[in-house]
Amino acid sequence: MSIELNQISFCYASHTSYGEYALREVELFIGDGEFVGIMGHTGCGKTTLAQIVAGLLPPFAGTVKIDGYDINKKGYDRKLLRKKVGFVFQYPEHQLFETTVEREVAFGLKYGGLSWNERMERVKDALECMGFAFERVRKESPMSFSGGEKRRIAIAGVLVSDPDILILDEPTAGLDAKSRSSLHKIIAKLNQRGATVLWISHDADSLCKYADRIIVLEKGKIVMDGPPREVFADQTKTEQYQIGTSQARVISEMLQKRGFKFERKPITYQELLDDLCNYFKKGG
Amino acid sequence: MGQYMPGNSVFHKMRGTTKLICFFWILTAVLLTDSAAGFFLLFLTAGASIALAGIGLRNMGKTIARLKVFFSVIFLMNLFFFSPEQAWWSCWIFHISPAGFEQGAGVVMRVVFLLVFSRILIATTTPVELTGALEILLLPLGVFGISTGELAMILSVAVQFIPILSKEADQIRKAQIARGAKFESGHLRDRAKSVLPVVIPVFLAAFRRADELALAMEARGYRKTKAQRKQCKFRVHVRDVQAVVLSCAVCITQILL
Ligand SMILES: Nc1ncnc2c1ncn2[C@@H]1O[C@H](COP(=O)(O)OP(=O)(O)O)[C@@H](O)[C@H]1O
Ligand SMILES: [Mg+2]
Repeated sequence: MSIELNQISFCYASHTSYGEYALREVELFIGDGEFVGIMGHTGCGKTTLAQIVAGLLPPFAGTVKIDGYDINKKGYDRKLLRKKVGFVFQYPEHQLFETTVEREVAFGLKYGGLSWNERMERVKDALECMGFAFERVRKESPMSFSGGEKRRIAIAGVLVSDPDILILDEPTAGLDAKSRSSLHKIIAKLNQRGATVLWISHDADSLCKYADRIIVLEKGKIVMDGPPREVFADQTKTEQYQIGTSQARVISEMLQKRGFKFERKPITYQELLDDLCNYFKKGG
Repeated sequence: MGQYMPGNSVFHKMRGTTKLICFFWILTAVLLTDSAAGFFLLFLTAGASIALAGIGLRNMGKTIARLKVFFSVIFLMNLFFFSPEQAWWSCWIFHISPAGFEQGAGVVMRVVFLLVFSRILIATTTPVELTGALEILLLPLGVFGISTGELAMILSVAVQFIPILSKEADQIRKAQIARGAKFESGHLRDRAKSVLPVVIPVFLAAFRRADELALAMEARGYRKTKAQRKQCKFRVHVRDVQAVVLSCAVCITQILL
């Protein structure tokens, strides 16, 4: 499902009197099935952009089109939007409120008009996707789990409605390495099944590995937009916008300084490994 | 309720204590008002204050518009349930009379003015300054053995939690909307049903924050001792005197009107 932003500007109410814009005239097109990483330092407007795309904030100016329809137009069916667009907030575990895991995850299906059995089927799929044994956890209280588990339950509650567009706002902040990489894999899998993914993250390594495209924001404007390789090739800009770079890229830079020659600029460990193997095979 | 808005206006420069004293004068004035002339005076005062504070009219309008349902309810309650004497229209227990209309309009206007003036106070005073001012004004309570330092500490915690929790509540509300909660629906029943998914997480957040704060305070060695009295050098400016005198004048005029 495609996303189209035209001349989007936004300003928070408490800032109106001194004209500080959180977003200014953003133009963006994201095609169906793309995996887009959004980067930029804190306060550059990433969350604001994501919430405007999801229709959670109305833009000051400009239009947002999802699948070709203007979502802020009168008469647009918001229920449809909520079903199509899933949004994982920064600390999703804070939104838990139900008495059992099963009810918590099923909340997003409440108004979908599905039968009980169909709903439980979906809940089971979502929980298993997030690595839980459905029968074991379904009657537990969500509050009795650890922080990382709560987060996975909350994410299951978003995935349960099978969204076509999935927006994640720094969902891995504070997660341990294992949960982080398993979440990355789950989202990559959903993307392969056709979901459009917008991932806000500071983690250049994972974005290099999974994203087709990286967008960098600075003071409410898009300043870089392209495949990870192109974005991270421009070292002056990545430093200027403080988005860091992938470890594989850093290592390849170091090797290059010591005389290694790479045909391309490797940005993931896999690419680095392949290039090194090639180098040794050829040159010995 | 809104938050502090940085700025450079006369109100921003004024001392917190002054603004608080003025606010109490104005508060009294608002509560005493019951004539058309009185409301006109309040209207002028509010207009001048908004202009001086440099808060956009649009911003103020939004604050008020948010409570439109509340205002409608108070107005209609007063309109329908006033005494049946001289009623324009009567039916069963409902009576619409000129007196009821007046009463309803008066109550609504008073609440609107209270809202406007407290918004101006909060928008032009940082939370720290506000609690500092409270602490100074509460000093006389020390006579009765109440530790004003601790009282101000409690107040300052309470005040600082307002923006944090309102931000958190906003996030949670959005998260539940994204999952399909029906806040946007026009039906009151749908909206009512969506209250729990927000209220429970917000309460949990409040407890979590309170726990964190208590731990952090203990870790940094906070004890229930006499809080160091702030050195409060009163450097009174002309504008402080002007503000207190002007607001007092509004209040006194109100009594006379
Ligand atoms: N609820 C809010 N009220 C007022 N200002 C806000 C609010 N949320 C964010 N901002 C401001 O808007 C700008 C962009 O914020 P945000 O989109 O959250 O950035 P990011 O997610 O990239 O860190 C920041 O300057 C921030 O201070
Ligand atoms: Mg953010």
